[in-house]
Amino acid sequence: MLTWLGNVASLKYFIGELWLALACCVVLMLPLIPKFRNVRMSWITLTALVFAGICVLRLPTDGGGIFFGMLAIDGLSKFFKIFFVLSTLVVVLMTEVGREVPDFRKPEFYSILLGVLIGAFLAASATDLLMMYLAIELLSLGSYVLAGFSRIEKTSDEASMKYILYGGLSTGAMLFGMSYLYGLTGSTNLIAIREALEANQIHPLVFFVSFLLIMVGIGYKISAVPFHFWAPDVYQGAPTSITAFLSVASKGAGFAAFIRIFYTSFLTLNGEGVWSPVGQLDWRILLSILAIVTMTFGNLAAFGQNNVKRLLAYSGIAHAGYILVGAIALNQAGMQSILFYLLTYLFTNLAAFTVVLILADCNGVEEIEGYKSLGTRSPWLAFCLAVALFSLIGVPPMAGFLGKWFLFAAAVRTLDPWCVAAVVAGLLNSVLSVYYYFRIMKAMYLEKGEEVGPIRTHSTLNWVATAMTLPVLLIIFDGGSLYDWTGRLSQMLLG
Amino acid sequence: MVGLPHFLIVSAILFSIGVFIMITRRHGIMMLMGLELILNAANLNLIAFSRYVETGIRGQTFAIFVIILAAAEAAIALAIILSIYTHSAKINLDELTSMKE
Repeated sequence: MLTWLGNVASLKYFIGELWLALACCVVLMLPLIPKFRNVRMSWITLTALVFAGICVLRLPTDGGGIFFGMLAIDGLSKFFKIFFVLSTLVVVLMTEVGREVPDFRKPEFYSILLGVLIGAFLAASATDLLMMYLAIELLSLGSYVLAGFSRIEKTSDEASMKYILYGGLSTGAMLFGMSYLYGLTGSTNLIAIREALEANQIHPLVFFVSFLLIMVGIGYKISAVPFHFWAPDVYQGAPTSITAFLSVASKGAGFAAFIRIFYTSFLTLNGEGVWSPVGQLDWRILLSILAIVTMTFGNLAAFGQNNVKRLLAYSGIAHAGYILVGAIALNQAGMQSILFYLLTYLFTNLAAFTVVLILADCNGVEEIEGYKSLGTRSPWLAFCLAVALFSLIGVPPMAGFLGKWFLFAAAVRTLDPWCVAAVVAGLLNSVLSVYYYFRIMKAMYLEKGEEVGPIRTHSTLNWVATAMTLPVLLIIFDGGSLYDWTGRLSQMLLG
Repeated sequence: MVGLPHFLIVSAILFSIGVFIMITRRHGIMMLMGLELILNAANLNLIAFSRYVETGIRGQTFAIFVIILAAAEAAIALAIILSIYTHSAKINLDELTSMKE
């Protein structure tokens, strides 16, 4: 049995979250004082993010469990915290420059965003069912509000309402599943749950029901197929910066929670970095079917979309399917490749969404129609978007190719028929997805639009787009060492 | 004598009614009530398990947190529903289809 750190001793590993919580309050309260009304809250937010990032970088990867086993300080939580801070930094920059959120509402916006970030931090490190539920709710409740933040667009409210009602249903179902899991094992600690599941004769049906219900909650967060229906509407209706946040950070948090719960509680590690399902329940088949259906549905549904944000939502669903392929490999390489893929997906998707934001915000264009002759009007932005789209397809020199390569290689090497089937489906789907990504590229480079002259843009956003595109292009030169880095961070606290 | 199965049956029934409401009703407020039933079904489970399976109070602590979160979630959901109602006087999810293609 592990020894857990007590409350006071844990605080030194918790400074990042404390900084964020402090900034969350300051950003909300400071504008209430007349003297500070015109201070730009984005600076405070960015400073807090940088501080939290530094604290996270200094975290050890073997800190053990803190707060009496509520949170884990391990490689996995460190990786995801870095991931969340990076994506939130970009989202803050996008919001500050964009015009979707009016200036006087920005303090609230940043405050809620920081709260959501704390939720994501906790979801990545929670090792207790209670903590996991609280973290996912903190993450979700903030996201519901942020999705409805744009007062200019009528669709924003609608997106928010659909998000919260179905989100409540799925987290409620997850909670019900957690309550059964607690009843089965008599514990809420994930490690103790696994030990109880290994030791006792558990009722397979009850365990299966509890597993399914927890999968509903997680599937909703990662937008896997039967629980994806919110994604297109919310992605389209929410402010573009929040769409970017949901597609990267929120999805990442979903996968963090997934890895945390499933790899700690539902799998037994039996040497050489290979896991096997605990109990008699082999849920690998179920997950591989889920992965195949998710990627196929996401790609097929994206075909007819004309709104680029909506199209990227379906593309995000498909990518959740690809990432699940790494999860069913059930080995160290699979987990490592999930982390690597998420990292490439962060840069790729944020590059794409920055360009989409420039077009939507500065020029009011969200339909593919409006992307016509972007290649001649603003060659650099068109190039950034093209690189991002090539990376999403998985064309060789881009980051997305490396990500898919590691992901599929990890799954194929297990030689499990279901894994191989999922990989084959993934390859076929990558080919399918070429069609709709190319529709955007065709509009940018081959079709002549009515408007001419460079599009209106903002220098900060240009820099962000460049900063996100370069890693996508350059990762190929040193992909190996980055992969090793994710390998070092894929160690997790298993008891 | 009332035992663990009785609590579990009641909570399973509550959960099923809640899910049924969420799936069949399209009225925002009705769906919120369904959500409340789901959360309370889970609470009932947690407390029953805490009494009969485990000797600690983990389940009861969990339930208290869930009650607080349910209130927070209802507050946010009502605010969003109110805002959507003042904008478009619509409250049924079926009528909110401005984004379908």
